[in-house]
Amino acid sequence: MCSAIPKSEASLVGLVSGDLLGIDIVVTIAIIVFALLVSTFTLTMGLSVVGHRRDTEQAAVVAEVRDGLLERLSRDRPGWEEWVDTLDEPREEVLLDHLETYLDMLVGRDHERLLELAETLDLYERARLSIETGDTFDRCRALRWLDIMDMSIDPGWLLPRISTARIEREAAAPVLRRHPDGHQLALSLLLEGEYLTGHGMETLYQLIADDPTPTVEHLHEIESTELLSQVLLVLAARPSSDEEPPIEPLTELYGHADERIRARTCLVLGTFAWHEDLKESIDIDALLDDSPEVRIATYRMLARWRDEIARHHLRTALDEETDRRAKIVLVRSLLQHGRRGDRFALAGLVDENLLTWARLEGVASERRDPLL
Amino acid sequence: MIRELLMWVIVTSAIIVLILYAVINAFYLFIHIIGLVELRDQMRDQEVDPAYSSFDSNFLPGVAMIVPAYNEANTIVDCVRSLVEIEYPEVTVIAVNDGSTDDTLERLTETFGLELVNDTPPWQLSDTEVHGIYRSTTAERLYVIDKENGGKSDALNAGINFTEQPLFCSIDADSIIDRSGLRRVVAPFIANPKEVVASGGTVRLANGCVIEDGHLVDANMSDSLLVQMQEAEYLRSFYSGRLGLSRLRNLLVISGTFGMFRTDVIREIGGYNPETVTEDLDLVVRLHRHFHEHDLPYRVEFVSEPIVWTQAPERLGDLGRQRRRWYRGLLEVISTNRDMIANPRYGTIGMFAIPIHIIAEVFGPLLEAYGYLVVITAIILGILHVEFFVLFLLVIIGIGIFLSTFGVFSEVWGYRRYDDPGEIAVLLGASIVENIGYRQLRAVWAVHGLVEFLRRDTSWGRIRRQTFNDTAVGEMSSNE
Repeated sequence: MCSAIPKSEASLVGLVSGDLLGIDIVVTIAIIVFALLVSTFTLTMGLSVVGHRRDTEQAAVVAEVRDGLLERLSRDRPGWEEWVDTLDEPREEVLLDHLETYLDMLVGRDHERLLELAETLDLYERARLSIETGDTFDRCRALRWLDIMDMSIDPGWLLPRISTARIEREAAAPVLRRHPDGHQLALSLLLEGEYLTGHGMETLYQLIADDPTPTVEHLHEIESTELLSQVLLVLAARPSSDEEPPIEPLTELYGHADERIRARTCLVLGTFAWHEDLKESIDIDALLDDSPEVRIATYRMLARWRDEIARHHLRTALDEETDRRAKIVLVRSLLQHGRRGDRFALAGLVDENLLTWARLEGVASERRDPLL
Repeated sequence: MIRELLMWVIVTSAIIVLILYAVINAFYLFIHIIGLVELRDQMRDQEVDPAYSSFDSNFLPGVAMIVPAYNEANTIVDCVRSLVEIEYPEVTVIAVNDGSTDDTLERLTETFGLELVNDTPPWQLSDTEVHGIYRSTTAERLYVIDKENGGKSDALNAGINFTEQPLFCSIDADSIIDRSGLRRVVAPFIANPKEVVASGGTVRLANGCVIEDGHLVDANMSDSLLVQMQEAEYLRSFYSGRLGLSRLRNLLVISGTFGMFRTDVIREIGGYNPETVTEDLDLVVRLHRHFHEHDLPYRVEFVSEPIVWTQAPERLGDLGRQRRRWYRGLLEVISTNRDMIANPRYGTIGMFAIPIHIIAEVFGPLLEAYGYLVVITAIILGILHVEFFVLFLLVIIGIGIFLSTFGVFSEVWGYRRYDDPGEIAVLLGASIVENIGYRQLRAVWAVHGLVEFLRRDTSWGRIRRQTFNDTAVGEMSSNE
């Protein structure tokens, strides 16, 4: 319709007529775009077909290997070596996937049997080789395998081979923990950075379950507030053990400038219900803390102590508490003391709505927030 | 003289449009490539994810799943069922019935045996009156807040104020979450508890999928061309766009369909804004503002694995209303936060993310609509070089298709939820068709959205919902 434009006008309309952006250039761009399209379409479809075929083949292999594994697991003599010798590469890959899952999931005799299978597959040596020659990804995979195989490794060999990256330090810590000389080294690796990941906290929990004293004695060396608050949370969640840590490093943190540290120190001190000297000596300043978070932690600490002194503090705080969330925890803490008299007295001291919520498990109750 | 002036205007503006077009597409290409790199890294990282294979870990943070529901009777039961049966050790599900006029509350009561805990909340939960708080007798994780209609933001705020969990997850009532999906979206908080304040997951379309008792059984492509084009669009947006921006730490939005946040941080910034129609974008932009103004380290992360399946509109009218609202919301948020634009105080968010969003998402569709006007005017004036125009149009469409295929490629290269090559062929076909007709429609909806914004329209619009198995069709609306 408009292809025949007079020259004078064409120079004016420029782009629209194709003079400014020459038609040759547009043709070239069009060819490039077309080539790109053909390539991406072919690549996408090709990948899809290959992936589909692989999935279909693997589906049969997965079932076959899983059935073989479980069947041998139930035998008196699994005969791992003979079986492994019959597996081709795709089947061995699938076996490794299953082994990883089941090693993590199964305990007792089955777990022991799977460890024998891991030995047959030479996984310990493979892991060492990956640590020796691989990148961060390979080292973390290898350390993960060593961890689920309950293996330890010589610290003198491992430490020069891992980097200072958090992911590697935290992957190495559970493996070092199992070594007779590894507890302190694992602790140092974990507490080297600014904070821990959830995995690091889980490993720290294991270390504290073994022996909480080195961690508590390490508290004053931790400079990062974030890390300190995480360590306190792990200490508060620790299982009871014969080995009780020293209490002084904790009472020193009771007046810390950061409210999270004060609150979490209270949670740890709550686990020392047996410690009569502590309960008598400690001045419950936290009851008057400006931070509701600290007051809530204090109420929880007193609820765990479950004695007359604690009950007295809680009753006193009832008149002062103005924050509704904190008051619910306070009332619940008093209810946990379980005195019939308290229940009747509370009915007159706090409104019925608040009592209803305090009695309800799950709302404003002790929350599962160890990580945050 | 007038003709010459008109031609000068056309040519000048065409050059500007061309330059902006080049900038926008260069940006998209860059983001898409970065998105592929991030996808590769995330998939590899999952293989060395040692932390949460153990289901009984002491250190998984508790999560409140908050479901705002206004007239969601068709989907609410499936959605809530998928949440109460989710694989995660510490979850509270809080469904907020936001003054529904249908039987949303009755269906929940019937299915989950709700009993009234209290008709007064423990403290103020929202701007509107709460009628009662219910607890399920059959699913101990489930609470239902019944309140006056106050809009989606107000309903979400009620849930945020009610919960004591350190993390909360907002999820739309027309969506289904993968049984193991929650762990994936919590993972960034576990990996970096110090800095991560929000994480979003990839949202895919539930239309055409087989869903039984609130669980996705089989991921299938819908037969509807309109849904297929939206699927291609979602893949591009989530796999390429958001993933790439997340790697650059410039993610501006976590989908309102599904996002996870730190409860204390969201309370600190005042919760969701009830005055906006795109509460998701508004919230994330305010998060960026807050942390930059307080000079605190933070991260907003994006998880590439498909986690949530949601219903896409199947009717053109519904889709148009949704897109107009999104565009209005974008203008509203940009306008409210205009002081952040090109402001170094807000780092790359102010200097890069918001400006490029304005160019690509605000001006992009408008420029496209303007381009069509220029062509029509040029035809009328008789100055259109047909061969040139056709070639140029083919190049533009070709680039659009090329960018669309990044999303489909990521699906095949990544998680492969669509296993059948036939479905991938359909998606590639949809990527072509999306650029011929649908793309132009989006430009028209943007112009319409702009007009609505200028008229200060704040409505959400009506969207029809279906049950997940398509057996019953009801006329529903989003939170008004």
